[in-house]
Amino acid sequence: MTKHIAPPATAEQIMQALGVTQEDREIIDRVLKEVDEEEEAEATRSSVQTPIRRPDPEDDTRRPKTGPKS
Amino acid sequence: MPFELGMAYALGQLRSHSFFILEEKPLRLQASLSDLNGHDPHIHGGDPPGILRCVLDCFGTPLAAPPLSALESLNRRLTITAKKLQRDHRTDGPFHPFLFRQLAGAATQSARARGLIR
Repeated sequence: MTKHIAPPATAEQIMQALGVTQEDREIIDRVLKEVDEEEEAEATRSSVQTPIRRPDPEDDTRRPKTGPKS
Repeated sequence: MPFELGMAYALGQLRSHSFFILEEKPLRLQASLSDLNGHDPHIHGGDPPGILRCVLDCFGTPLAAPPLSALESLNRRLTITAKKLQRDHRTDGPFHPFLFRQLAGAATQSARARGLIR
C-alpha cells in the first residue's frame, strides 16, 4: 500500500487554494460560532443531574409490611 | 466515478501521479474492471468511519496520523455545519460551489483549531 508522501498544506494555503473569500470567512466564523454555542449548551444539559434523594430513616411507609402474627 | 478513474489512471501512466480508489464493497471493482494492476481499492463499507479509515490508510503516516476518534468528532461537527449552511442558503444539499467552498473552509478552520493541521 503506497503512502502519498507530501508535506501537508497549512490551513491558509488550503483556504487560498479553495478560493475562500472574506465574505465566506465571515459566514464560516458565524456558523462555527453557532455550532460551538450549541455544543456547549448540549454539554451543559447533559451534565446537569437530578439530585439523589436519600430515603428518610424515620419514614416507615416504605418498609415492607408484615402480616399479622398467628 | 469511472470517468475520473480513467483520467487518473491515464495521468499515472503518463507522468508521476498518485491516486487512490475507494470502493464501498469488496471485490465489486474487480468484477467489472480487472486491469488495475497495483491499484487495490480501499474498501469503506459505505459509512463515515469506513471512509475515514481509508483516508488514514491513504494519507496517514506512522508519526503524524490522528486517531480515528478525532476525525469522527470533526465529521460530526461538520455534519451540523453543513445542515446550517444548507438552511441558511435554502438549498437541499451541499453540492453547490459556494456552499461547498464554505464547508471546506469550515473543515479547514476546525481542523486547525484542533491541531490536526497548521
